Amino acid sequence: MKARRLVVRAAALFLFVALGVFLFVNGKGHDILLDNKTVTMGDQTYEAFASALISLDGKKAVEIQRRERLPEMLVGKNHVIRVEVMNRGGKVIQTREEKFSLGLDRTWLISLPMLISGDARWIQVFKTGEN
Amino acid sequence: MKNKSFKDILISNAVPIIFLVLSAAAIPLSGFTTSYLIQEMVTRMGRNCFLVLSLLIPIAAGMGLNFGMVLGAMGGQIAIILVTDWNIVGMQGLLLAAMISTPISLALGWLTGEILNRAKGREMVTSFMLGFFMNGVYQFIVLYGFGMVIPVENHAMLLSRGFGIRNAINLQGVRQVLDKFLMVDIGPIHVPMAAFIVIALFCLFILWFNRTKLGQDMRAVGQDMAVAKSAGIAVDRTRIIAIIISTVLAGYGQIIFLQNIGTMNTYNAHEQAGIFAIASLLIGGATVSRATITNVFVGVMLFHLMFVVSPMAGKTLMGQAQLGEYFRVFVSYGIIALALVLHALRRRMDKERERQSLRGGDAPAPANGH
Repeated sequence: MKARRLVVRAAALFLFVALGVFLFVNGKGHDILLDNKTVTMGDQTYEAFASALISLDGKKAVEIQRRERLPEMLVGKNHVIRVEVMNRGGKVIQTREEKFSLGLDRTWLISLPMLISGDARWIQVFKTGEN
Repeated sequence: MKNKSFKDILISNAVPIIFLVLSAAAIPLSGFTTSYLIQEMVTRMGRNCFLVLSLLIPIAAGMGLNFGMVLGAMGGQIAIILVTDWNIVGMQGLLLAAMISTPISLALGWLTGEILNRAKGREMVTSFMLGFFMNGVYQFIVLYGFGMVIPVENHAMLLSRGFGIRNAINLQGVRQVLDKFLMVDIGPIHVPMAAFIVIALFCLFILWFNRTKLGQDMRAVGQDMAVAKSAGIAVDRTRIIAIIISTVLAGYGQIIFLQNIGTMNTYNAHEQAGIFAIASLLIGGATVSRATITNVFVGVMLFHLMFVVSPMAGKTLMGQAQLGEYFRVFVSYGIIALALVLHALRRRMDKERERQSLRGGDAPAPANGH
């Protein structure tokens, strides 16, 4: 009887902690910086494009211009980004969709030129003081 | 069952009637529209009822007004600080805050219960002083612990010296999450239905709890501890459970309150929670030894009606809104003082009546109705 009670209590405690972890991971808000600036990584340069439409998790797309950085907020771990690059005439010339997971860090920088070019380092943790 | 005379009804409901009359006089002076007042009452009831309901169980257990509910409010606030720092947003943030506050409030409730068992008959003053003591501990943790021992990721929450939480915190991540979860518009009135569902569930819980073995034990303990003990009820344990339940629920109540307000006064919010909740309950017609769910709703409505209309009524009458502000603070503390005085008087009269009956004389009618 005593052992059964202990097992029930341990299970309840485990469920309580598991629910807490679930809420923590799925409720974590992340500040996302969508960056459309020319980036140089080693000897590789990724040119910013004139403008693009960015949609996060299927929400309404926002337009970003060259040398702009837009803040967005995402909640949870797994997300999808869709980038539609436009030419000066406003016509979509390239589209790319990527799935990504966010860790526990608060702020993340998404380099759109690197994303379009297929560089795996397109999403990085943003530390305060970086630009 | 004895029929109550009109005078008896007036006397037993003196406080709500006085507030009703005062409010009725102040409403036209305030100049507020009916829809504005209804909206304010609906919002404030959704915000405060849970906190006030958390006071009912200790009253049933004969422990009086649980001034120790501020300990639960502190637990709720620490949980809200952590959730805000971790940037857990939305309903998940609110639920996680409730989960974090649970073990803190459990521990604080157990501590309060143990102490109150050593101060039987003086529970209210003891829990009041305990609130002051724990306020010091809370301030020490929040002012020195956060940022120094407890890591804080969001430096905007810290004081400029690098540790300690700022006086006011923006609860942007959980602001009105529960209220907006299910907002129903009835004409021009926005009703935060989710908050009212939570409150309704709490009311059902209280009604169900009163019918359980533990609930019956609590009422038995509340009526006479010696009789309850001789009937085999674990009096001390039952009293501790009553306080633990109240403290945990006060923690949840404070979280609901803070999500509605959207900002947190780090060092004072819990103190106000205790005083205003107790004042609301008493204004609703509750006494130190008897309180019902109806008292909660009537009290919250009347108290907050006064809260809303008194500054404007004061401005109209005296040209100063500050007067109404003073009035409502005076009312909060005054009503608690009055209830405690009445309680002491009733106890004295009951004792006198018992003494008279032991002597074989004509016993006067019981003063407190139970």
